[in-house]
Amino acid sequence: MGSDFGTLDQSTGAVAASMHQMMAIDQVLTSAVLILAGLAAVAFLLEIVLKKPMFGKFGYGLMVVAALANFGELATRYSYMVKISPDYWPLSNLFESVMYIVVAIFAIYLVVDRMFKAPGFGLVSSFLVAIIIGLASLLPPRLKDAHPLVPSLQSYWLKVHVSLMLISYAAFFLSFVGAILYLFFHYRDRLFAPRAAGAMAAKGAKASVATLDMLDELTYRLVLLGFPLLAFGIILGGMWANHAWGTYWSWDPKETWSLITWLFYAAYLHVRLQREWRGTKAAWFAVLCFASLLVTYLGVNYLATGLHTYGKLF
Amino acid sequence: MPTHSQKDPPAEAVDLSQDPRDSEAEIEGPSVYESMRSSFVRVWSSVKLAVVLIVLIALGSIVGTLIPQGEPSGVLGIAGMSEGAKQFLIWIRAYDVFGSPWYLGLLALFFFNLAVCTYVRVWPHLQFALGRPRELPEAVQARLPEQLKLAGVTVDRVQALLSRRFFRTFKTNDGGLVADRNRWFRFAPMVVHVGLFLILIGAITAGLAGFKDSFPLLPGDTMPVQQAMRAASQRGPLTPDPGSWKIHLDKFWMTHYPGGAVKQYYSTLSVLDGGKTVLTRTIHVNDPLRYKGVWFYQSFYGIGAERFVVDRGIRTRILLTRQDGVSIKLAGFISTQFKLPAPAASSATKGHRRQEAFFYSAGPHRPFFLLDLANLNCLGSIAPGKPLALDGHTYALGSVTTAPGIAAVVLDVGGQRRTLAVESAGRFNLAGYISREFVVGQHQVFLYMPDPEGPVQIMDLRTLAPICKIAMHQSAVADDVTVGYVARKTTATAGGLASATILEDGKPVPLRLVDVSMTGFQVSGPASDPFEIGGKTVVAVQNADPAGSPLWLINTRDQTAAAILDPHDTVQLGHDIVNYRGPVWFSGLQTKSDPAIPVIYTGFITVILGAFLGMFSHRQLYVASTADGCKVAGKANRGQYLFHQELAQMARELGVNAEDAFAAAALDAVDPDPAAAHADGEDPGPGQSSRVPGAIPQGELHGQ
Repeated sequence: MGSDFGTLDQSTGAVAASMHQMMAIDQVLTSAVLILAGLAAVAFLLEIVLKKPMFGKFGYGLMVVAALANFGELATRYSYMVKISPDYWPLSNLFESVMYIVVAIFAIYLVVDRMFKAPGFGLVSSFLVAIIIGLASLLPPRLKDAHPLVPSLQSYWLKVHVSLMLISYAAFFLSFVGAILYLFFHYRDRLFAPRAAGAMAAKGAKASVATLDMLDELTYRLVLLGFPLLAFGIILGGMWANHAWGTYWSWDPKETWSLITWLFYAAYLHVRLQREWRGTKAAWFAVLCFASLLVTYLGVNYLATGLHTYGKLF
Repeated sequence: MPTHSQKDPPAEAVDLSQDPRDSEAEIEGPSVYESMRSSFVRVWSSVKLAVVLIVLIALGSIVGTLIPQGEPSGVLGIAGMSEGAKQFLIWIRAYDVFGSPWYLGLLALFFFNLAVCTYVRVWPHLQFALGRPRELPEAVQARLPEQLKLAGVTVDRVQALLSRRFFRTFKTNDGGLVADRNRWFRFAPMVVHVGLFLILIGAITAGLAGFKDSFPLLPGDTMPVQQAMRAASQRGPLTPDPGSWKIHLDKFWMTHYPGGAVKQYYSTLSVLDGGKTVLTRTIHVNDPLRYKGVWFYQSFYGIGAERFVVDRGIRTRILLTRQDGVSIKLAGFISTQFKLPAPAASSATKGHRRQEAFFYSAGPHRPFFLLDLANLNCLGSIAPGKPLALDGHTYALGSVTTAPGIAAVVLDVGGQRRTLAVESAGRFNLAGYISREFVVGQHQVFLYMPDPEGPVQIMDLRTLAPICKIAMHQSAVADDVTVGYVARKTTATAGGLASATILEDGKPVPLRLVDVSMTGFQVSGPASDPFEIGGKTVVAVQNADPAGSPLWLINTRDQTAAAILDPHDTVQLGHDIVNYRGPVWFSGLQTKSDPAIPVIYTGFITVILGAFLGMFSHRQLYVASTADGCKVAGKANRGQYLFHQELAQMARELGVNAEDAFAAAALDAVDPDPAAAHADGEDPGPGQSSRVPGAIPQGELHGQ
């Protein structure tokens, strides 16, 4: 797929010119998202260090602007590419899928942060998002440049199936953020609470229990959001496969790993029914589930080739 | 678990027996049979078992993505694994995880667990949801996770507010309220389970009464659907007869992007039913055709289909559908490679040929084919008395001599002696002797001897680059492994050709010939099934991409080349004149009949619906009037935090400071049990809440 562009440039000069223009705008917007997310992280850090809620509001505002820039980045690609390939959707390579997930992370974050006032949620989310975009922008051009879609991807199913998958990844990413924050506060209290003495320690510990409960619920609720989205995404994939190839399921590695991820999250939801599994164990389980999701998203392409080998890193 | 008979529950546990979470109460009974049944049900309805099975299925699936799936040979091909481990993996059918008995067994156990789980819980849940919210004794209410006191607020005002917020409210006899919202969402997990069952039923039905197959079709060809179905390996025993209609491929083509990448594949299909065309439609990837319950999908396309006209008037079309792994051992003789001379001045050919070429002969009395080394294109053939003119030069066959060949080489690899049979010659350079592949260090290599008397070379199989060269009785280091060349053994019985002389423009050119009658070399690529031509059974093989390479016809009996044909070549084979017309694309159609689609799709929708419903929290509230207002107790089944926020909002709407309301309730609390105060807090101990009679199981042990 990577070499298509060189020849495209030669064959149609006008398209090539607008393509370079588009990639330049794209570059600017991607950098803007990266910088805005980084600034948001700084603002959230200042909020915690200086204990001034104003910075938190500022960080939230930066996240809103970053989300808009991110949306603009995808919209730019779409508006240019759709002229070349009418079925184009900004999911033609790894970079685009990262930006797609990140815009969903922004959207879910902006809603969830209004509902849960979880300490550190904004900081960790924005910081990790900045790192993700930073890494994604280091990808080689063949994984960044927009491409026309190969025949099997030219379908409205692609838009729905992959979108649902990636939005579920975004929800699971934020649930992962909730889980690591839970573990951070849990182990911080474990390590440092006993050293303090008297009423202050008791008060601090109590406040922390409420925080932990909140983070546990935040993680749980985000899994409850990602779980149906992933189910919907996988099922739409099956329906698409049936529509396109006449078979729902082929045990292709990507398919199998998405099922594995879904099963791990199903196990997470079921172990939570046991009271003693809530809290720390559940948080560790959520981290494990997220690891399986990373394999599904990135790792599978190294394992084997299959029907879904569209966005290989190497 | 507490075992309360439903008829006569202990006073404090009244509510537990009605709680869907305490579903075991439903199936308790006094008889021995009943208790056996109950222990059976308890084991099989256990959520712990479900978790264990889910995790085992996930781990089994991981094995299926790590080990190449398909044939046992995939396991054998894994580098750096001990033989015992490989045998174990083959024994557990790790090469076919998703069809292995243990994986299917796990799935069966899982679905049985799911069935029992759902069965024992659906009725208590239904009772719970159909009835009004149960009332709780005050002592139990006091332990619910959410507590607030609303000073100066009447129960009626609370009721009005709750109704606005879509709670169901009921007055109790003592002037209080019970209220809840979203109770039907407790069914969400069960809806998912039912959906999974529908998918299972659909999959089984599809296996029994559906069929699935794929077949290639050349433009202009017709395929009876019955034939497609008869050939189908995945046809179920209950699959109905489709009728006698046929599918005809009018046209197959591709469109391209400006850069040359394929944009789309199209097939124009006609349905012939009752002797006439009833339907013509163009399908493409993602847009199938459906006729009488049978679907046709644009699934793949053929690298080549060949067309012949035989002089007896028979027009044969050969499909090259066997893609990978079809390799034919060619018996015969190949020469050292040589550079083709520049075209003579008199030649019409422009430019300078830089081709490397070699001669190939299937046997001592067969013609010699001049083959382009790069792509095995046949440039022409020479036979005794039949010279070849090429680029203004004339090639004629001179003398042919025979000599013995080499059979085995002994190597010392890292201190271990191994004997390698020198058997196959590869395409990198067809002059010389080549061994089977073997492993040195991390590399898959083979041995190459350009000269049987000279040194051996260890070649990287993947890159075809030499790793090292070792002279007889010497050693070299390859990939940190010391390899010594110890001995070679020659055979005196091989009566192959050793050299041949051709006459190039009348000048004799000696060529050393490698006997490949016992070593052979591989022509691999898209191949046909065996077919009859010229009184012989042959297979057709396209050795490279179909655009320029020739078609090889290979006798299946002795694996010699019957003919090497370029497009528009005409040759005589036996009594037949064969005209090769060149490659044609075929369209690969996937066909399928699946009566279970409605069931499976219903299952899909049910799973999705259930999973989304599971996001909502069932919220329960108890309001009691007090001297100075009322107090409220409540809980939710998907975590308390958001419910707490809602209660705070409600307090504000009632004109009460929310923090005061919670604080007042906390001051009132007489129960010192810290576990009750923080419902989702630190672990209260395994199953503690449900073991203590009267305590409210704040965790949803089973009900979700």
